[in-house]
Amino acid sequence: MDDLIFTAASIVCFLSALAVVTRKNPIYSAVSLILFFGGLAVIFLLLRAPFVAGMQLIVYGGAILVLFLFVIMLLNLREEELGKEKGGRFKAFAAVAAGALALLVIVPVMAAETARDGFGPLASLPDGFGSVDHLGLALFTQFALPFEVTSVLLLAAIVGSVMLSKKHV
Amino acid sequence: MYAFLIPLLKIVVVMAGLFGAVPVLVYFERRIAAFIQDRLGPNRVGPMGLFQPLADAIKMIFKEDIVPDHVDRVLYVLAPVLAFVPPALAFAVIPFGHPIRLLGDRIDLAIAPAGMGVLFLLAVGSTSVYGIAFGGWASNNKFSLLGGLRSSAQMISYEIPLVLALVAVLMTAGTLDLGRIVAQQAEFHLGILPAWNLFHQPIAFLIFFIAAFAETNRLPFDLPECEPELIGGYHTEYSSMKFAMFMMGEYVAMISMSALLVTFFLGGWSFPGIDPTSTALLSGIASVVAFAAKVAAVLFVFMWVRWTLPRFRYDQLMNLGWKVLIPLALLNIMATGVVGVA
Repeated sequence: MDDLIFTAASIVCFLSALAVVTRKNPIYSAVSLILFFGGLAVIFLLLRAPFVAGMQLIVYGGAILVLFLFVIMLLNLREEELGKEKGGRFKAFAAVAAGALALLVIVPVMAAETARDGFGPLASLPDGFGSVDHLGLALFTQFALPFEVTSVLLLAAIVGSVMLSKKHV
Repeated sequence: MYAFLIPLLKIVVVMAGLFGAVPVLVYFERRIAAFIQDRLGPNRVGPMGLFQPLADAIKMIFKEDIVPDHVDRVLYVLAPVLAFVPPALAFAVIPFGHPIRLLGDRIDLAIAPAGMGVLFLLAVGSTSVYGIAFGGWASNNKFSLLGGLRSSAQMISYEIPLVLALVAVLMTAGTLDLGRIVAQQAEFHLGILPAWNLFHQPIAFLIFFIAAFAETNRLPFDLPECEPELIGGYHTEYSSMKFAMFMMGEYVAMISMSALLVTFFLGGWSFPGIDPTSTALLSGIASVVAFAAKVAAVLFVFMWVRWTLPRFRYDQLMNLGWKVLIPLALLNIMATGVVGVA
């Protein structure tokens, strides 16, 4: 059952990710991205990480993508403006960069898998794995420093965007 | 086979009840509006106008379904569907009665009693903005676009206080399981006062209540529609069943929001006299009736407010959300934490 759901979710993810970069109209790219986040959330659920799956949809699927759409809708590009293609050189560079990124993920995963004698089910998970209380405990004890540092980073981003959007400081 | 049949039956019954409630709500909305405005309201079709919803439905179905030439076809057709699927999905995890025992099997009266029910609700709720946003953009009409943009800004702004209010409730409940949140509220303080979260978290209740109006685009926060300014906003270009789907979406969202309010703050299916530990069929039916009655009471308040309060201005709406409700919700979380530790 898990395999079946995983296959379906990865097909959705793959096709929608492809659509994000191939659609000419940015609004369809954004729609595909929403679909992609949905598929990703399903995969997180399969990995016994319901909280991450929920956050994926709430934060990315719900809030951030709405802001993307906001900008796209306000610009509301017309057909003729969308028709202008970027140069081939730009596309080639993008393809190389994306390929390099993909290799960065694939190579370590394959190496880890061969070290474990091929693909197989992961070791059984500890009790309560992925539950909200375990996640909260880990965040506020073991990973307290990285967690707080991230929040400082976010605060800096908020202050920065307020500064940028204010005409007179 | 049997194990597969029960969830299927629950889905059919709940969804039929949900969509069947929509025309009834429309009828009551019009009658209540008429009562508040000292009019008669629809009273011609059938006794007391009771067949009016039927007449409305037939009219909607037989109207010409126009797709204007200037719209973006794919999103234009998709938008009404997206407007009513997410609010209906919320009912997948809402417990509408206490567990019953039937033919020896324990049956939970919720379609999918999930341990992480609240997370599911929030995830589904966060996608409910797309129907209106897409509808507004795909219509390719400046009023519709404005309505769509207003709704996206409004809904993500008010989702924050809504979720923060829930965080305080979850802190007192100590669980994300909706079934357990309701079961906790089935107890009593001093033998008479029900242990509803309304009494534990009054500020959270107030914030959730206000944000619920904004999330469902109801007056006093119905700026995405705002007839005098936007001629209906996101659904201006829609006709026939597509328009009806938007309208159904609004009512289904209202029902889901009321159901959530009842589940989180008003004790869900619990009611004085109903034994929460019982698994008898009759007691189960009583708990379902209690739940439905509470939801109906909240829905009445929704309608009452709609016809008695004027619309907010857009800057007032944003100020209320960001400068009042969000700080208040954060303070409430801090206070809950302090009380919890002490």
